[in-house]
Amino acid sequence: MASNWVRQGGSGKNLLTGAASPLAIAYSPTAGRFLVTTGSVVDNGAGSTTVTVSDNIDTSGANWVVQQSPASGSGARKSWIAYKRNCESGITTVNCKFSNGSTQFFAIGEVSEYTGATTLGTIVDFTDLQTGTNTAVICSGTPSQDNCLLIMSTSADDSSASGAWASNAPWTTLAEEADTGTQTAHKSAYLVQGTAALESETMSYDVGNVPHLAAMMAFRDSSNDTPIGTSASVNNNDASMASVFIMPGAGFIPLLRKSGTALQRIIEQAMGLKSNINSTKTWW
Amino acid sequence: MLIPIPRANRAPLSLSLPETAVPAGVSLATIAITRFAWPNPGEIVGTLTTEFSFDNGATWPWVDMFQVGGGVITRNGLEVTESSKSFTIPPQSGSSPRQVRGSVVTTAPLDFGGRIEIV
Repeated sequence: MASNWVRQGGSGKNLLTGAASPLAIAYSPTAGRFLVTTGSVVDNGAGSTTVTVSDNIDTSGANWVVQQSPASGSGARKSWIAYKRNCESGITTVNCKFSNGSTQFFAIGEVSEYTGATTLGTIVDFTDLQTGTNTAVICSGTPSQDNCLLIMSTSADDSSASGAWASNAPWTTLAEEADTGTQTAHKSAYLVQGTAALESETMSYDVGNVPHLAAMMAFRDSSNDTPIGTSASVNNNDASMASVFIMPGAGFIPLLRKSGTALQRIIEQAMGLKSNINSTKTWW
Repeated sequence: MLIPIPRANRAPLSLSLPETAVPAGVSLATIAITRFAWPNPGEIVGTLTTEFSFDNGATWPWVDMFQVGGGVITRNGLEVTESSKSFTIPPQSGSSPRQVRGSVVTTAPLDFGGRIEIV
């Protein structure tokens, strides 16, 4: 079965040079999509930085989940991956915020949107956060399910010299900045995997003796969102049949909507609710 | 190709950069702005937005934004005298020419020069 993940669009690269937080990325996704932002940040030496993400609808960022690499080197360099399931209508700006109060952040980020996310249970299959050597960083993991979306976000310190990122085919680049010595070098990319297998990806920036760091995450698609069995069938008052399917991680979902005492009782019992067969309440 | 940007003290401006064909074979562009005593530390004083089309201007799916802060900025204790950004431009797909367009907005008077490099 093929993966259901499809990248539907993205903001392209946004770069903030020597200014206060946030990195505001203008992008208007379609409601309901799976949103991801990746990026890297370094400041001018103010200290440890925590990355948080919000948008103009979800202003507190309550529906965003952020993973960030370990900090490395001067300026607390970090890369992040943040995601939001089932995004709200009306989003026009995603704000990537950095906590330490510096007024001189150097940050690169992008937003992209996808269809095909699992609608059941947890969406994150694995997360790998790494610091690397002075020439490269490697993230790796084996998804527990087929058809995962893998995203990697990487940074390298290019404050001493400029360089270039090596190719990461067959990964597709989301944003890449190989810069000139005054900002942070960043690369992020994605890969839709078929059969689950070990993915070990090297991000290499060809300037010697510079710290690298990275984050990789794997996200589950909806191809595994299939019923695993029928738990009950009911002959109701008018002889209609109703079935209740068990979905992995989601309890049960009645497929035939109707009112009636027998079906209502089974549903209530399954949910642990008190049954009242004399009720005139219509449930569906 | 190297295109110099002469140094000048420029008033706040808002410019639209018209659609222009990207020459065949071009894969990377870099813009570097030399900073001379800019005002408004911590604030964004300049924004360059570029869009790329791979179907001769029918759609513009590739957007880049470059924002620069004011004041004297430092990295590792040293003054940063140049703000720069590179554009990795995807190759032409089929026979449709690539196009670029964009805008420049500055919100404070800025003394700057610089260069654009295309390879």
